[in-house]
Amino acid sequence: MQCVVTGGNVKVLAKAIHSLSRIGDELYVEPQQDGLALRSVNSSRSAYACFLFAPLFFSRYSLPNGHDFRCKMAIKSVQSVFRSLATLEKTVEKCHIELDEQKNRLTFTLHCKHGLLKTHNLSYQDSESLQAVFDKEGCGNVFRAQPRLLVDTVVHFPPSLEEVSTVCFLLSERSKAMVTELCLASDEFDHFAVHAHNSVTFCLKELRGLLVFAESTGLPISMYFDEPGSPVVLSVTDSVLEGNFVLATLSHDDHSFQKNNTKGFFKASGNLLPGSRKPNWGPDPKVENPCSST
Amino acid sequence: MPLSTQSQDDNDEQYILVASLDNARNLSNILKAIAFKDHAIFTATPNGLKVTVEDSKCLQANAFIQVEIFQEFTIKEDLVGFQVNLTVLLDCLNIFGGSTAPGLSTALRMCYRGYGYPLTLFLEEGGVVTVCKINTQEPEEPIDFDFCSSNVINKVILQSESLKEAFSELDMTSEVLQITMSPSQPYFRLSTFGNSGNAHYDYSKDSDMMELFKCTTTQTNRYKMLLLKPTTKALALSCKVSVRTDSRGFLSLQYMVRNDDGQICFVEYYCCPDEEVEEE
Repeated sequence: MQCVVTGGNVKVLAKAIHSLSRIGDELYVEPQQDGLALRSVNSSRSAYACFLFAPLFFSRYSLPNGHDFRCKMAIKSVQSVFRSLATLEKTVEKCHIELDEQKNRLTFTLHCKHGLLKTHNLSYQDSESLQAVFDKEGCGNVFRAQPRLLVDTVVHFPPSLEEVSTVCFLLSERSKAMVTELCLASDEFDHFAVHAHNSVTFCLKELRGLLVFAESTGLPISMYFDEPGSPVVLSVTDSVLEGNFVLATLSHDDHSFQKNNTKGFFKASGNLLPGSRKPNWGPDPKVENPCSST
Repeated sequence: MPLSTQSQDDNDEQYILVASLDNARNLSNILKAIAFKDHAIFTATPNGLKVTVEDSKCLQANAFIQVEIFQEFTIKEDLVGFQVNLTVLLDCLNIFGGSTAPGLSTALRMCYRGYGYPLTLFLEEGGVVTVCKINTQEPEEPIDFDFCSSNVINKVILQSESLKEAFSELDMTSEVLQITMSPSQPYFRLSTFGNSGNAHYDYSKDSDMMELFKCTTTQTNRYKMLLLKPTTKALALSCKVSVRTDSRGFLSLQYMVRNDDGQICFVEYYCCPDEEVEEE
């Protein structure tokens, strides 16, 4: 596998990785025909994110010879390759990602200004396939907003806050001490198609990772959701990349707000991944997942 | 000793060393670059002041403030040496809060009467005078690393800007920093071996950051990361750095530091290699 990222795209790649680090501790890397997929999942399997970089995102993109390859590595290690985001744009001319299956290493080489070459040889582990099953188009409700709108809204909630509820035009926080509610009128959104008056509750912390990414790239965020218990999907796309953050929501049975851990937080509706406990969502979803291999 | 009402000249008769600076920062800033241990050995000669700090017999840092930097430098012996607590000294030099307001600086008059006497600092800012007396100790003999130019195998001089970036990103989970210098690829390489894998920072000999490149033989040496960590302070202050290794693998880092008045001072670090390394 050989990928070359040049110019401003290096920073986009770095930001996507930083954004995935808000979800889980491991980065799953899978080069596919339709692009390079970078994924992450949290420990309770209630939040999943995937960035797919199309071959056109790269100035060079070639797959491993003849076989499927996937691996995972500590996300902190990959973050250390792209340490200072601020200087990335100014100093890095291109980033070369190369796979060495003999040595179980993924090598990131940054060609920087002034003849400086930074090479990071990171060890990886073989991994299982990590793909969530979700269907955006089948969701009953969708809205799309400029990232600034959501960032400005979320800033009103304290950083330690665990969860937020989205009612079609109402955003509120539930905690023992305080309830914060923020209303956004439908005309503040670029696109607003809501078919039922609904309320879904999901984890705010995981959302912030996507917000940071969207804001820096200026891409609008689309949010797809159904009834409580169905996962909510937050999406950013442009011509060469697609990012999907899939977050489990509390089902009707889960009313309590457990502050201290994410493991017990999502009870019935937690599990999104095939093979794990049967998720509590309504009609059978169509398997239309841009992050799965065809 | 109470504040004397005698004239300045009478007082000075007692001192074997008097050094004055209009701006104490020209001393304190450079001392901060070597302040990784509490104690420092001061060696004054008619050429100026040398301050030495050592760590576990493996690392030595020297700051040189040559006589031209001082507004006044009077020394009555060929060599005056003493040891003081560097942390205390720096606290005294910054006693007025170390503000960087333009036009306002702390003036320093450093006086030493000789063996057994404290080091006396007269600090003045905006008309307010503070007198500090710091106890001195018998100076330890600084280690002689026996590093001489004739034994130098490889030498490069780099602009600090690029090294600063590399040092700020170094993988601190690596126990060692490996330095490779070679007349062929990779020319000048800094390597770390950490928890997630290894990393290499290569500087090409043709880089515009490379001011001098004189490497005759390929050498690879490892140094304990913890020992080299203090050098980042000197690096941060410097505009240029020279990296030299000798036939034993000993490392000499020399930093060119410009003070507030644009004058040049030098800080150097000597470090022992960690172990013999076969060339890879």
